[in-house]
Amino acid sequence: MGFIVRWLRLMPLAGLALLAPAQERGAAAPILERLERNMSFRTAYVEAEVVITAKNRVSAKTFFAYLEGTERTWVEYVSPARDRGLRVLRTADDLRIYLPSARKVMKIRNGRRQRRGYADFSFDDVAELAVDLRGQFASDELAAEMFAGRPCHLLRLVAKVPGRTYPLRKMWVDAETAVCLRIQFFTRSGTLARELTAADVRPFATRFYPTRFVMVDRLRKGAQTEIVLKKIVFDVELPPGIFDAANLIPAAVSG
Amino acid sequence: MTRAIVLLAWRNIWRNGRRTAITSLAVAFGTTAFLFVQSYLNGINAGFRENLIGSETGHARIAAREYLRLERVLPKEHLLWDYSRLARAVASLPTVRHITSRIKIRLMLSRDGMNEPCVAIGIDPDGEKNFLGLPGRMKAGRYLGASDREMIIGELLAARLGVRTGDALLAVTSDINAGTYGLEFRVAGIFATGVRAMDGNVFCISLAAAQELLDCRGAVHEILLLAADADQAPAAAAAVKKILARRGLQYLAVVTLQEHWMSRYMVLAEKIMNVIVVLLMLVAASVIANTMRMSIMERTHEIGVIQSLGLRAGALRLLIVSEAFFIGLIGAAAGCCLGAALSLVAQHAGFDVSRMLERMDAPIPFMSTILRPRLSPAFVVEAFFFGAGFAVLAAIRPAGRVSRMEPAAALRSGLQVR
Repeated sequence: MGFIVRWLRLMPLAGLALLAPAQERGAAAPILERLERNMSFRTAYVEAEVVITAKNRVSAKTFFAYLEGTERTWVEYVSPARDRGLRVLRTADDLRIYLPSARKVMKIRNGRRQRRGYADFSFDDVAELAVDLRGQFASDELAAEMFAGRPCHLLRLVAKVPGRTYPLRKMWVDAETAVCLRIQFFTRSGTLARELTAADVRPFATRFYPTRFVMVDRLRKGAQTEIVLKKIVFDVELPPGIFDAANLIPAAVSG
Repeated sequence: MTRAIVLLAWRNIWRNGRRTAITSLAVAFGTTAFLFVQSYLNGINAGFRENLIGSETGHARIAAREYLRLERVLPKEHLLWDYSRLARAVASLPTVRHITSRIKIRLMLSRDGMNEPCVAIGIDPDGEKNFLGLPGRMKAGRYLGASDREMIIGELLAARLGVRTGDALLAVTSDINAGTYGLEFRVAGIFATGVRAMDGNVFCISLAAAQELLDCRGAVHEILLLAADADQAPAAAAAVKKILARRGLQYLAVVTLQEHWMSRYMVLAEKIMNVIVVLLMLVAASVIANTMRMSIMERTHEIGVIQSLGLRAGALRLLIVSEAFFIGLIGAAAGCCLGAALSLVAQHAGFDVSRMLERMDAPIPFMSTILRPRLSPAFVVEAFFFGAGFAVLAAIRPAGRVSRMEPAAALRSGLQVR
């Protein structure tokens, strides 16, 4: 009992250690710069499968998507049949969803973002993970560590602006490929809320990029989301008008 | 002799009409207040109970254990599968009078770029008539019909969205497979239950439409049942538990009205209301007692005259108490009539407390915006006996005091009313 009480008393200190302001030392900044350069892209085309697991229920969906950096995204679901034809258009200002079941578009204004039915996260979140980390977080390198057989830099990131979701993060960045292999997301109190792992890293023309992501919800038992990129093409020529709201409604419906 | 005293008492009360009227008025006031407050508190209590039974619990409720545990967040995935077979078995129980099934979904209603988070309740329109009673609460349009693309919506929610009957709304949610799904519904009618939580956040659609939204054909979140009365709920629940055990449905639980957290609150609320009634009775009783005492004490000279004429102390006490009894009867009868009339008028008109509720940070669950007293014959009888009885009780002590006075002292007292 005394052992448990001692550890309970230490837990706030552990949280405080995570909360302690991180300095932006010389060691972490170049790592983050490499990470951001490697993981960011101008445009991309993705075909993916997402598998959502919640308690005893497993759901699999496939989709394809066009992305313009992290600013604009077009996603269209291909399967299962119930989701086929669902289209999501996200721009800087709003989110629009075409619902084939109702043949209607729902618009959410002013940057309000909603989870598009995923248990944990979407590919949009993956794309945003390595964007402007130096601007949003103060960082330092905690250690050099091995993860999944890869030499990694273990970084600690603390949000510069209060009110951010998961203001505390720990990242394992592959020292060679500059791919983030693991991220732990902590709440303000220091509780581990989510954990993302990336795997199946492949070389592309100018970068290395993981093709498998697993986000585990540490606050809900048995809840995780896995995204497998079947195909990804960087710096792709985007179809004209792909991000126009009018394209959301299929011609067969609007005509 | 006794008969003569009582007859004399009856004539005496009419000799000084003003004094009799004032004293009767005090009794009437106390009786009116007692009766009206009883009716009012009964109305509040009954309203809570009816709203709770109709909207939330029935007399008993069957649902998945996990659903009941997480109910406040309306978990969509914890369902009661193959519900129709179970519902048929439950409906056939002799202790069960009505049943209905429901699905509850948190979702977004969208119209012209405006999005409003709210709750959809998928209902069996026929079965639900005995629970929510919505057919009698439609403010515009009509109740749900046969179409699965109709909805009826709470009036406050409709006002926020700016919709009228015939308008279309898009309902969007994530289903049990984490997919995004939406359906368009036409507003068939607008209801007003008087409960802000219901009128401001809820719309109703058919069970089939709700199952389509959630992708859970053949399942519901709960089955509600009504027994012959609330007291039979435990017996009905016990019978349902036997059915669940026989079918191996351990993942389901049965919860009675009495086990709901709100019922415990209502028991406490009833105790508080009883305290309020007792305090009111004390106030009313003190008014009656004071007036009765004054009425007797001001007749000291007159009583001295009666004593001088040979009336013994015991007969004198009987005379005074009999007068108090008759005054009490008159006052109690008048008070009961007035209290009943006030209660019935207020019951019809209701007290609109919507403004008060709007200003509250934490809404009181299941409280109607219109409070209506509920008069009961038992309250009228109680109030009558309270008024008349306390008038007699209040007269006993002062009657004893004046009867023990020496006639000469009473005559000299000078307390008289002309």
